[in-house]
Amino acid sequence: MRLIPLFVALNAVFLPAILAAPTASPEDAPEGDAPAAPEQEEPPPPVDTKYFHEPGGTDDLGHYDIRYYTGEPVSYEVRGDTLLYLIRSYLTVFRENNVNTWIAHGTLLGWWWNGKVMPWDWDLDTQVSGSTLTWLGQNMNMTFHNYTVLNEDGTEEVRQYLLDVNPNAVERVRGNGHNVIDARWIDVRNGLFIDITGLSETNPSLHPGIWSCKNYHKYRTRDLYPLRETMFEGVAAQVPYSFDRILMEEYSPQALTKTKHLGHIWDPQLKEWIKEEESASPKAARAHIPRSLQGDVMAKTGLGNLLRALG
Amino acid sequence: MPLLPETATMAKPLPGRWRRGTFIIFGLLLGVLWAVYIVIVKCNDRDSAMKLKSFGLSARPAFTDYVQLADLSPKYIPQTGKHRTSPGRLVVVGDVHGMRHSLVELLEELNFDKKHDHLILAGDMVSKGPDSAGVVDFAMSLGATCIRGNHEDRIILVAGEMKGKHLDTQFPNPNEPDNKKQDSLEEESFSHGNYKVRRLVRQLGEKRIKWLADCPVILRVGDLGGMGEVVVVHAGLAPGLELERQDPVTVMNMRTIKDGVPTDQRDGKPWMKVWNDYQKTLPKKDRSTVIYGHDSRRGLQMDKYSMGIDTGCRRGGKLSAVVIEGGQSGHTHKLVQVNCKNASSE
Repeated sequence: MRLIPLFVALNAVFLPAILAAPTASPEDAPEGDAPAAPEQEEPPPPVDTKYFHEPGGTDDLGHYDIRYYTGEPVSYEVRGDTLLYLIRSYLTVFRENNVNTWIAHGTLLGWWWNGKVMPWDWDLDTQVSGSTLTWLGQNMNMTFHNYTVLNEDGTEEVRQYLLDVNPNAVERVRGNGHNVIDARWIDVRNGLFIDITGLSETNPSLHPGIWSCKNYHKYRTRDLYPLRETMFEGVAAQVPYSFDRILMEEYSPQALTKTKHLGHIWDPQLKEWIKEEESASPKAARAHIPRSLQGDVMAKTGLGNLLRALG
Repeated sequence: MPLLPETATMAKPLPGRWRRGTFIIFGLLLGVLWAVYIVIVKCNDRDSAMKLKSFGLSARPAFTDYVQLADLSPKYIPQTGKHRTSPGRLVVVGDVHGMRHSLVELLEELNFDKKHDHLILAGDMVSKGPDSAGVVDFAMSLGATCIRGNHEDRIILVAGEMKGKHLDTQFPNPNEPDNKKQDSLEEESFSHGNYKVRRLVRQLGEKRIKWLADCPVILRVGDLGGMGEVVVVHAGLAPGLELERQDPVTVMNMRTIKDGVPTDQRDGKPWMKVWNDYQKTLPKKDRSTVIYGHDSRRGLQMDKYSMGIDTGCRRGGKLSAVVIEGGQSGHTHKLVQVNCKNASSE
């Protein structure tokens, strides 16, 4: 407790923790080839049990739904614009239909900082209750929704979104990990999407009040409900009751205080994450200077340094 | 060889000098260790203060329908000086939790007179205890000022949820009866285990819920001389952060500060310790005293710049009030308590 300065240096350790959006990891695992052509004699084609597919497993390709992928990744700007209207359309359409949903994971962290999608985020995460998910599957599956986007130059543009519910959504356990994402809200122009995950009390008799998704994220009923009304990206949104506890448990308390992340710096005046200049970004520095020769990001004078050196 | 006898003769006076030397060295070492310890502690405090500053940097969107901060009307502030015209006092009471009888008894003990005294309830007035509605009615009749505690917060949010439209999923849902033998939490559920809160919402009814929903999360009482600016909240405040920028959820729930972030968990540093240390670094005119409740397990916590007055009335403990009076030369405050009977006998 007394030696907290010692651990300041360990802050760096938490970087990758925030990097890794939890729902992304199993989903991102490369799937191998699509089902083999029927004329192939042997070996028998492997049964593909995964419902949603992406063009690839990398950060570049893992965030597109393969059915709507144009063959080329979008730019940083197009991605930002796409994600902005993905979440606005999703929250608006769900609210119009009285479907309860709330934002989760990295999207919730972005809300905590300034109510916006974090500029380094590739995807968006929302959650619904298990019963809502079943209802969505029975009543709104494979429905297309139009949303009018107001461009910066004042022109209007209608974009189309697809709500696609994984048929495996009724199965509330993780299984082989191929179907941990229960539904998607897809921008049909380029295939970028929101991951929608259903939470249920998977083991009500042994663990009452514990909700989980198929990726083993656990939540207490009291931490989720009642939901809080707020705003996200300028539209009405809901967040879990104990959003602070949920964020700290998932990302560590440092995620709520660290003002430098993945080449972006938090500007408290602008209330925005600002992309660092390429030359000044830690990525560029890492490429040329061995870590041992680099200055400490948190460098301070005094005893703290000595303690860190000793530690 | 000739050295040997020499060392032999030298050997005699050595032990004494050696011993003295050891004492001096040992003493010095202790001094150094102490200095190192003090530096570490100071670094730590400075560190947590710095981290707390970055905790307040975020620009989280506001919640819908919250009163973040309200100022107490100056007419309720006890008058001071020779020519004061009213004997009015401020009475701040901690977590009542539906214990109406105890609240009545405490005010009787104080000879509370609503003509010139003013009551402030520091949150968690309702739930758990036997007569939540009675406490709210009593407080309303006295024209009391209320603070939003974590229990009021949950009740108000659930009330909003109950009013909202929900799609009929054909599954257990929020509007199903709460008196079923088989709690549908046994199944996949939409009702979130809020049955108890829902029942209380119905008991309280719209008028009382409305009164509770208007309670601010933070009440700024004003500058009261030696206490500095007096503020009433339910759980605590993050030191070094303006009242406007405090996070309402942590203000209603915090117990400790851990890794620079206020939390409702108990394994960090008690927030009021950080708060008091921080106040002492400020010029006297900028210091501030917080009156709060929320933590009956910790019980009575009277510090220079914070007063925790949740003394577990509902569990048969005491109900506590901080009474602020206007004296000849300035404001004074004292603690007044009554014993609470067991909740079941209320």
